[in-house]
Amino acid sequence: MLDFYDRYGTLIYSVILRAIKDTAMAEDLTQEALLRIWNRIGTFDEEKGNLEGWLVTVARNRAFDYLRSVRKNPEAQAGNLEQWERTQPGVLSVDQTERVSDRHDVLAALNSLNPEQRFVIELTHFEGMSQSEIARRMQKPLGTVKGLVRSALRSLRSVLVGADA
Amino acid sequence: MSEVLKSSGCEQYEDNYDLYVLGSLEEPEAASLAEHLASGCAYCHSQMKQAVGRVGSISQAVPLVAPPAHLRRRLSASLGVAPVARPNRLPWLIATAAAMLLAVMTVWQFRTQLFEREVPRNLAAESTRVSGMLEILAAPGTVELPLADLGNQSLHGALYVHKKLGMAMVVDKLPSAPSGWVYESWVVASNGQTRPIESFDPDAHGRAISVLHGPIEVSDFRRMLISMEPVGSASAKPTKLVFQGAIPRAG
Repeated sequence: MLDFYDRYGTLIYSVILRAIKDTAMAEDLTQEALLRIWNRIGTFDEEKGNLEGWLVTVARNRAFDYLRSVRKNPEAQAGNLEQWERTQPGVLSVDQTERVSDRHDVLAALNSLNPEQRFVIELTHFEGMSQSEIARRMQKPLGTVKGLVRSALRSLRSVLVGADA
Repeated sequence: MSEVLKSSGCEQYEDNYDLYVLGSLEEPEAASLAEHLASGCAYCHSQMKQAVGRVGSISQAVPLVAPPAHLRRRLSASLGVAPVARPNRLPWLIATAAAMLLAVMTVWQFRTQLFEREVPRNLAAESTRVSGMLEILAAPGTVELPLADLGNQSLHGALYVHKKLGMAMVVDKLPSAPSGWVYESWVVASNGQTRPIESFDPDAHGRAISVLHGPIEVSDFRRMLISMEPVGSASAKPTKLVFQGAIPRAG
């Protein structure tokens, strides 16, 4: 377990800390996520999937779940991915060709966005915010935020597809 | 990338896959996409797979921050086994836990010697769970709380709570989980938040234990749940609820 922690603890802690920005709570959630991952890791098929991606998914979901409970956010739909995964055996085994594994490419793609686009991506991807919450945070109309998120996602897709080609 | 043909109406979901994966897509768009996916649209399923990869890659691009050194010590402490003083209560439970630990260690040693390969991780997890339970049961100050069954199941349960070490749940008469499913324990906090604890399997007699490590204030929690989850899933909420136990206030 401690070897596992030494190898992946920084990644899991970083994902959780980035989302909740509270070191004490991040420690609690990291410990909880690690025990959860450890108890389930026997069911993970390494040949089919990307272990780091799975770890990040578990850590991110735990952090977002906590944030949504704190925010009492009725809009966001926690668990959409899990709901879909249950209908897709082996989906955590996303084909390696469908992964953008190069951290440099991802950072370059994020840097290619304008500041507002990057901001909304950070709020959706790293803090689990819904578009309504982002609209309140940015004090912009919901329609404007949806357009901003849409354009940011399209830019990201095009850059990442190009980098992955 | 995908050679799957787009069906009519797929365009409206083009910008929603990533948000759906993140759980950030709101209604009515989320329900609409869920319904469309349930219809079996191959194009949208292929797009969802790409979105999972894309979101996962972006999430991994967080700035890496080393956790504080005491987190490792804390984790290590939560896994350790304290010297066990002979307890004067619940001899059958201690005996069961000890027997489970002995069985785990025997299988562990046998497999290690026989195959000379890495110990299966679920055995390691079982050993950790039993060790944690023994530690809580043996510690002075541990309180036993019966779990009042809120459903109509014939399950019996109890909680053993130690303020510093954590909480161990014991249930009886739990049938084996169907193939492809595993039991998972959850705790419902006073604020209504549901937190997963761990996945586990009952023994041949239907007895199972689940341990939540770390300092705990039992008044912060309302209920313990047991659900069945698909093997390998990381659901944030119970999928099939099989047991709800109300946590009484400690006297």
